[in-house]
Amino acid sequence: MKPFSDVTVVELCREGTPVHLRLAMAMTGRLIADQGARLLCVVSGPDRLEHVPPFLDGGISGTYAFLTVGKEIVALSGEAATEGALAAQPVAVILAEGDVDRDRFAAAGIAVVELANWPKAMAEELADEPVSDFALAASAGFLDVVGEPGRAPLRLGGHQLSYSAGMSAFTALTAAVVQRDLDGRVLHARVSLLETAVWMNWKAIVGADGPGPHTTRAGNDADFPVLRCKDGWAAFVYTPNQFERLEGMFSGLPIREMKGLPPEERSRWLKAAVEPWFAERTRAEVYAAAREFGIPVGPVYAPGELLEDEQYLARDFFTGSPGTLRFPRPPMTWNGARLESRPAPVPAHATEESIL
Amino acid sequence: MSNPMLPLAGTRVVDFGQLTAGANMAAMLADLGADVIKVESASYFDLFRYSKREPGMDWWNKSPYFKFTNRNKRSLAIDLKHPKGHELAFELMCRSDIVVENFRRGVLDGLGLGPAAVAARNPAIVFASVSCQGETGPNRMHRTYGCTLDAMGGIAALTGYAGERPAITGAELNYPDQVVSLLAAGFVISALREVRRTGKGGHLDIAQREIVSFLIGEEIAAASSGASGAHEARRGNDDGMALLQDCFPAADGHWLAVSVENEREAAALERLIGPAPDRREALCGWVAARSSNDAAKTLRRAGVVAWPVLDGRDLLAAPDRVGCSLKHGDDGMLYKGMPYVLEGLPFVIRRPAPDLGQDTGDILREILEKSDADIASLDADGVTNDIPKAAA
Repeated sequence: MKPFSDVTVVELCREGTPVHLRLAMAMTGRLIADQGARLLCVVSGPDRLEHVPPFLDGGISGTYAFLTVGKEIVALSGEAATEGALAAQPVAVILAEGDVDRDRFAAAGIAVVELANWPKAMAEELADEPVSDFALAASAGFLDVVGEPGRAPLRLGGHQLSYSAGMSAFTALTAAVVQRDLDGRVLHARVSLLETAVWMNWKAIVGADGPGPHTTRAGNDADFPVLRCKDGWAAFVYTPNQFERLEGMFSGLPIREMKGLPPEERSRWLKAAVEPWFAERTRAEVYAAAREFGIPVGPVYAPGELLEDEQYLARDFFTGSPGTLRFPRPPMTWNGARLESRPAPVPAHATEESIL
Repeated sequence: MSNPMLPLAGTRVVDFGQLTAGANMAAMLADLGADVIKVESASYFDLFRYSKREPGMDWWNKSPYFKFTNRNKRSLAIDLKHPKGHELAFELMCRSDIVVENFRRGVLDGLGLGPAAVAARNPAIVFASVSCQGETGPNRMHRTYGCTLDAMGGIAALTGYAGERPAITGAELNYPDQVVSLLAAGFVISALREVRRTGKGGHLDIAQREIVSFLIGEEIAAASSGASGAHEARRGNDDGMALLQDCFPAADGHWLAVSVENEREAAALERLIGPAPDRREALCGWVAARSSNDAAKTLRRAGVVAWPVLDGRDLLAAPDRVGCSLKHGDDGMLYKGMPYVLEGLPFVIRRPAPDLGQDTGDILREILEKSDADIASLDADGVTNDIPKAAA
């Protein structure tokens, strides 16, 4: 499956592009490249992506390597970057809000996919205010829902806000190309990190709109705690309809006593009752029992452990082989087959030849 | 009802999607103009219909959770286990472009409504299955929730206070459910384009857990390279790039999110709060003496990134801030919007989330060519019942 193999998309990186927007742009480009598009990454000036941790053995940014899989990199300066991008005759250009040549691309009939910080109504007013993805997560209520009550709100690991906006922009880009197929119309898309984050954080809005408790972070006293195992941690989900299966999984524990408690006290009681059970077992033992009895339990795996995960190995989720640099493949299959991407380019191999 | 100017106008989607991952993804297709037909029954309907329900009649049509994730759809209520209901569903799938489902693996196959059965009659179908761990593999049948996917996908290992237990997103957010609908909609549109180019449909297998792991791809790459210092530890709000980044409690009880991203900003901070052997501690004391808004404005004027941590109530009070992500319908209700803006195509709630079975008659007549007598007979046989058995 290469649904976009007949189109070229340009990802335009200018000097000074904020790193959180650069990450979002790069994710958009990565996803459309996975779907077969020729993705030309035109870099004008230093690319901050090359300095985003973690770093691979040898010092290259792992983030850069992951996000440039399947792309061609072209280093051009100033005006030449715009000219080069136009010369490639792309169907779409991915850029950051405020790009000086945005209107030139639009006038040339190229769909503009613009990554931004704020909703359009706020963009002008806040254009000169310093901002980061962390600040945008705070402004979207996204930080408020992670962490322990009374303690500092927490960000999610990795670059989740930027990547989410990148996914959002990818979906908008696919819609724009389909529109062009249908009637030749050129659709431009604008994706802000803030709107994407609020869109994902919709339960906080529902929680605030109308009666009932306000939705905020419940921490580890919530119905879904993270419990210590012999060799790590596991997330455990309790729902009221699991009673019989819980008795099976925790045989020997007085699970039946829980039935006599008011509903709001059951999860706290259950957590206290099963904590020692978890602590005496490895994550593998816990997971085997959870699988047997159909209880939603998720061992906490570090990124390196995922490389050995039996489910991922069975589904051929990673490129390469043990001992080599490996990446997750695009997270989908079509008729049982994985999409194949070209390998990531090495920064030093960037060339102008691609578009000449 | 669909706007012919939208990219997916003329595309028909059969939506068996439940909760966020399935139903919300199908809603994104509806927002782009597809005719999305949500298929439920009186005995099995979207579990969001139970959420935050209010007592009284018709509770299954009132849930705000359901309304948020099912706007712009039509509703067909048929019993898939009844032979006539099964036949109707199969016929509808054969006359559609896309099927979306997130049942437990094997459920639709068990009903004879799986991708192979449908493709045999409708070879151009895009059959999109969203599941916890995918269609294949030893753990394909294991139940998960969003937060167990946080754990198994690798994000939880990177999330948490420094040196403490991993943190998951929990029911308040269920991050893996949100990202799958963002990305899967794009995958479905991509597959639709593939079908339009080649004439050949297929089965799109989307595993939520894989999406979560994909979103920490750089950490997996670093781990595979054996690089020392790969970011596998939890470090609170430190992202490995900023010199200082954290949330600080302000005098008004709110939190302030601060990022000091480089030496220039560090110098600006020092000019503002004075030199201190421990920059974090000094900033903490400085913020604690001010309201969150005053501290934020003063820090930003000095060139330091600082914004108050808002919650759902704050967002409701600031419509500019939510932009396209929320939308009030003509009925005055608040709905989920879109995560992006398509220029010239403002997001419109063409129809509120449907009552259970609201459009059954229309769909049977228009698409499946049933007569009024046929429809009455199906109703009499209990095939098209729109009163949940739990309420009957």
